[in-house]
Amino acid sequence: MMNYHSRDNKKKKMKWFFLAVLVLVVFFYSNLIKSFSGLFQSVITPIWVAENKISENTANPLGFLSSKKDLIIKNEQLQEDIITAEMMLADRNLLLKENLELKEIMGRSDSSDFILASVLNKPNVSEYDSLIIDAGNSLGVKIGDKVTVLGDVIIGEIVEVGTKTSKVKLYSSSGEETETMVGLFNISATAVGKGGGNFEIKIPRGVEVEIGDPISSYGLNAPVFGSVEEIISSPADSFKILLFKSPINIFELKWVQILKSE
Amino acid sequence: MGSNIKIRIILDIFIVISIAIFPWWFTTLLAIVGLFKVDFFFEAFVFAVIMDSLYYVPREIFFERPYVSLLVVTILFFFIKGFKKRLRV
Repeated sequence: MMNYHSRDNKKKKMKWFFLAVLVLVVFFYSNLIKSFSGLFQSVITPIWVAENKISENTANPLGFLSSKKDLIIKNEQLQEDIITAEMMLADRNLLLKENLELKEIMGRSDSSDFILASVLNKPNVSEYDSLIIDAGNSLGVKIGDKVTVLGDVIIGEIVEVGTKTSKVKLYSSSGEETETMVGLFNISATAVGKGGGNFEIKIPRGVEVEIGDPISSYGLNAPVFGSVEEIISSPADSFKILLFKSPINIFELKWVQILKSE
Repeated sequence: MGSNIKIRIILDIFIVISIAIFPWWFTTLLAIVGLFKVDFFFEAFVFAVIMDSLYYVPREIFFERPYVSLLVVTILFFFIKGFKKRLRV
């Protein structure tokens, strides 16, 4: 008898608990999580900072599993990549200088202002695929500010601002749609995020695009999303699919720049 | 009773660390362990609210809803509850 009553009470308590959860979710959840967001972030921030410090100062624990031969091959490949990158950088710097000089002649000089922020968490920590950075409204960050890496590669935008931290929505998150300009003729197209820094663009088959063509956002000093890596098309399909990914590894991001909006 | 509380405390600590550092699927795995091992692991709901609060951004894939973690935990709770009942039978 006693067991039956206590089980009955327990069931009643659980029913009330879930009813309360349902009411909370339907009516108050958005406000509740916004109210507590700052508090939870300030509690968790020391763990993020400690984790970042530890990963900076320790080597990859699985590194010892790689064979010496593999490491030598990887080393040689990376050295070749560095030489190629240095040549491209020299060429890029020349083009940049020419670009800035032309803009000055035309009366449109570069006046972008940015805030440097460190990344507190990796995007795969949550299902929302978001980043948290250590710059907030105390540094002038606003909702809608674009977030870039090295000032050139755009990765997302600010969607929530706290006093000392902000949340970034990544454009490459699965299902996210972003307007872009493709190729040398700036063809307007919508890039759909596929997660992990990957994107896909669907354009009419007749549009001329080649592998390596840049994909950028709108504006005078538009940062880039990446460049076309693969083109999938079939004669039966009236569209072709461009695949590209961000040149930045978003899982190893440490610093970002926030472009201040006017 | 004593071991139940010990398991709760250990799991709670691991889940808090996991929320900050490890991927969301690992945190979910720890929550599943908690829901299996502990009778009424209400902390799973608290941690779900914390995760939603910390990381929520409006995403089209989730219809811009902020309660993804809470929804996942609620579904897991009922699923595991039913599963545990069947195991006892």
